[in-house]
Amino acid sequence: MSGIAPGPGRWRPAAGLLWRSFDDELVVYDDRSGDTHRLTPRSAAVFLALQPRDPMIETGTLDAEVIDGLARLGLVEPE
Amino acid sequence: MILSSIPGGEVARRLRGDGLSLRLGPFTAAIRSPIASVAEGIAALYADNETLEEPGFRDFHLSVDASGGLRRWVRRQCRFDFDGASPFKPLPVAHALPILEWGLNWCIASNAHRYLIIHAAAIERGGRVAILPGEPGAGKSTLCAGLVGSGGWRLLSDELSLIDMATGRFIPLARPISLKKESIEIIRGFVPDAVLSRETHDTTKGRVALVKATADSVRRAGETAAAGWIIFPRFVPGAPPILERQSKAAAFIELATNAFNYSIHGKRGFTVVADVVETCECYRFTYCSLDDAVQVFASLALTR
Repeated sequence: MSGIAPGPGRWRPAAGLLWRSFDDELVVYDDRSGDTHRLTPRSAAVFLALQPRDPMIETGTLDAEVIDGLARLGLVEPE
Repeated sequence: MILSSIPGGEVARRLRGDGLSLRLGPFTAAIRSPIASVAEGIAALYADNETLEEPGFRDFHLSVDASGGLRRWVRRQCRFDFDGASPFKPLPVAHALPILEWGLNWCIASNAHRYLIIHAAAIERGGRVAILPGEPGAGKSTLCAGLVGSGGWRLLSDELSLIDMATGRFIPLARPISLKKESIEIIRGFVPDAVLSRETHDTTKGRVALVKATADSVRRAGETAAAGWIIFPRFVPGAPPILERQSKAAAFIELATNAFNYSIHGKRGFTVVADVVETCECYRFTYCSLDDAVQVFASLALTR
């Protein structure tokens, strides 16, 4: 999913993900790529904030650098 | 019938003929080989395993044969065959016994996908499994042999930990423990009653010997167990024993990396690993002395 330019707007978790929380870290499995990612507490917090159980929120309120990293991993995508 | 009840000559005759069938944990294997060191090794290392006396289905049909042609006379070689194919290049005939063991590992890791298979030792005490993943040279097998031989732990596996995909429980596969180099002398000293194969020199792993699984471990091959600990061992000469907490997320990644077929199982594989990690305490363990290791692991066992 490289090539997605981070920027203002709405973001959502990519489809086909499974994840599990371990303390304040997260392990995410991407069923499309088969990759498994370990998210630091900082990234995990942003990833969880984007989950559907929360209303879609402006990414401007979240850590743009983290959103960029998650987008490059294919774990979030623009709405 | 237990293999030790069959005379050695008969074991060798079966291996030379139609094959010797053994139960190996959840698997059955028919083994053929005319090579004397293989017969001697199997008779010693699998003495407590059940033999299958009736014809029927076997999971694996293996053979280790001496190469023909010029190699019958000059630098004799042997070849491992699995279901009629030769997945590896021929090696010196003196390596026949370890080749059989490594070949059997390869067969299981490549085919037994009803399990999640992790490259790790697994030992059990009090109904809980300590999973010991480790890169080559980390001291995983030495630690495993020491804890099983003198620490009161049951061997589930030295190389291939099998996790039932449906239940998440560990399936025993008590087979010989493969030791390298100085580890052979360490275990001879630490576990004086251990049964070891003859040493094989100049293999791709250096000097190796195989340690027989304890009779108790083989006898309890039907007793599955739940995960308790994930411990990444590291042998460091002269180091004091240090048990450090490890992040579960980091342990997950290492466990998945050490799984032979994690990617084959996809989402289900992720869920099984996650469930295992969730129930485990995760540590890094640096050690030098097996006496220290036995004490540390005994204390650990009391915590669950």
